[in-house]
Amino acid sequence: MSSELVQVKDLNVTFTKKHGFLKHHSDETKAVNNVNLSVKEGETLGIVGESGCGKSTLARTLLTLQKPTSGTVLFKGKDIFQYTHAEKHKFRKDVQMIFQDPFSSLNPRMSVGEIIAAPLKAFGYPKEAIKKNVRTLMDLVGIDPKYANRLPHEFSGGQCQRIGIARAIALKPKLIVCDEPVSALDVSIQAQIINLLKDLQKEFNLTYLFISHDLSVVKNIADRIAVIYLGQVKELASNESFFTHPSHPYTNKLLSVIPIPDPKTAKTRTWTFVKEDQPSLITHSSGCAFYPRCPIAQDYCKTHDPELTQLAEHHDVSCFYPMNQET
Amino acid sequence: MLEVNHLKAYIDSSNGLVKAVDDVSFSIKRGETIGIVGESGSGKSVLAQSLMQLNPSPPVFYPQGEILFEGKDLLKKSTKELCALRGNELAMIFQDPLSSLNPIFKVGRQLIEAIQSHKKIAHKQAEAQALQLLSDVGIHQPQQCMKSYPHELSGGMRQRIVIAMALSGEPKLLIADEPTTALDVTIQAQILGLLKQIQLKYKTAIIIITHDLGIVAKLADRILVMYSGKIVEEGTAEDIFYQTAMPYTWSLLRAIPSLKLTRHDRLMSIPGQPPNLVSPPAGCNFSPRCPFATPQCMDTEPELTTAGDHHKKACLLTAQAFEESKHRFEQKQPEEV
Repeated sequence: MSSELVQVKDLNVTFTKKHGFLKHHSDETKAVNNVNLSVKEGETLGIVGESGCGKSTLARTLLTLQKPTSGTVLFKGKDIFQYTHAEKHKFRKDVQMIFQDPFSSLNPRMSVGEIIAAPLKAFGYPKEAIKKNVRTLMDLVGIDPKYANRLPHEFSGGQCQRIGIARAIALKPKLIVCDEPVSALDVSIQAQIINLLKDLQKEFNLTYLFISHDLSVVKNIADRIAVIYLGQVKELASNESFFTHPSHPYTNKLLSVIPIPDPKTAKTRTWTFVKEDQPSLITHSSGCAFYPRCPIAQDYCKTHDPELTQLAEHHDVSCFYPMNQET
Repeated sequence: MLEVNHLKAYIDSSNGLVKAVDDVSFSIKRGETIGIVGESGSGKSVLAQSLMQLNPSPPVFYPQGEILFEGKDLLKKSTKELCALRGNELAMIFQDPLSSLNPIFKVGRQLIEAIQSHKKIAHKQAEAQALQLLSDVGIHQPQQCMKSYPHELSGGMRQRIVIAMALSGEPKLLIADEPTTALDVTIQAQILGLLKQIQLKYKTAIIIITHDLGIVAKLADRILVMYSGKIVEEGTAEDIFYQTAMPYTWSLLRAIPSLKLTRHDRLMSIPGQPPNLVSPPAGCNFSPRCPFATPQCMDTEPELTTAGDHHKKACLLTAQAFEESKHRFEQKQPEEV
């Protein structure tokens, strides 16, 4: 649990959009803004944020699918953007991804067996070994191997997600990036997939980067949680500390909107009536990014941008006035 | 206001007859909210679309039952009569806001069109009304929003526009089919708050369809739990959550990733998949997945029976037997984990 598998240092990803006469003007979108993170071997790091906060861009950057504007990403201590060709090949084997939409992430013309075999084939496994592997993998994720010749459309959403998971673990990767793996699924199926992911982690000592917008899901799987708002890490804490002392006002807001499956508690809560939306990522002027929506904002926050600082052990927060602290 | 009696909606498919809605009865009063909860494939969307008579027919047909809206049977109405009702009296919000808006027209034009199709008013007036509706649903710059195309707006904004459209005819009944499934948790809270606000303002009755019991806990006055085309439990939110009388509802409740659990707890999932509605299992439809099923469950189909005031369940287990099995199950649990 100790060694760091991935280290993200001062990562910035900025998209520029040019507009106006002769494209003289440009808007900058800071999708990832000065992010520092590390993922330890065998742990699950949950990344939480609203849509459009840059969490998928961050994930794509870790997979080298997106070039950073500045900063580095170290995988096992080596910068992934400086890899040689051979190292890149090895890296692709070590890092896999599970996608949000179980249907569109599987090729509708390939049989399930072929889909799971594809990564093995790409890494030149012998035919016999592939066949055997596919069977074991299907067993592992709870799909009867006799269905290997069926096409994805013959399966339900939850089963398709299992197939996606089988494909992701085929090459025995170190790190799996799960981009909202359960948000497209029904509650009952969601629980099955979360349990499956936990079991596989135990069995193969996998490391997960688990992206979600739902804190209740993340609570059930993550060891540490990072809350992202407009491309910045606002709070980073261990699971226990995060839920006992949520310190950033944004985290508290996120916690307050989770539907509670308990009518008595739920009815004591006030309704969230429509207020302002998340501002766009296009350059905000100065000060804390959360300032416009913050319930406890002070004048100081308008002009000064807080940095991620340590508040307690395993608990970092980026706010001048953190809430819910132990006294 | 709306009464559904013994409604059956079957789909004639190439694989055989799908009993999507099988003998469903319920009613809703003015200003009331009903939550219909079930997994995908439990027939809840077919039921919702039957209420609006939106199911393509064929393949969908209604061998039995009636849908009484203010005393008149919707199943016997002509297309013309239905068109007059839809939007004016009944309105529906769909799951995916992007696919319910036309991508090639500006939002304003679509909204004005919706308003003018219900009322004979001038374009100017309709425009003013559209602006009013947009600010009602919490859009800050309605002028600007009218001029945008659907793809330029965020998911939450789109869903609000769809709600604005649904409200344009001031309907008496609003049917929301998974209105927040495609949205973030924060936006979800906003949309649910908006629905409640609208209900208080217009005294609309709302039927909200979802797979997440957490959503209806707060919003719904009464909850119907559907499984494989049938209602398996019906009651107030308190009945469903605190006096759960049916193993399926109980399992659904346990599957919700609640904040009360820690990461060392295992979520209880419902084993297997929802049944195939072409050839549903014999006896109780839930019996193959039910942790408490008895041999009797495999061959006798339970009826919806009373389990308390306004509380009904479709389960062969007696309340006492259910309590005992739950107890036994919970004691067994730690060994498995």
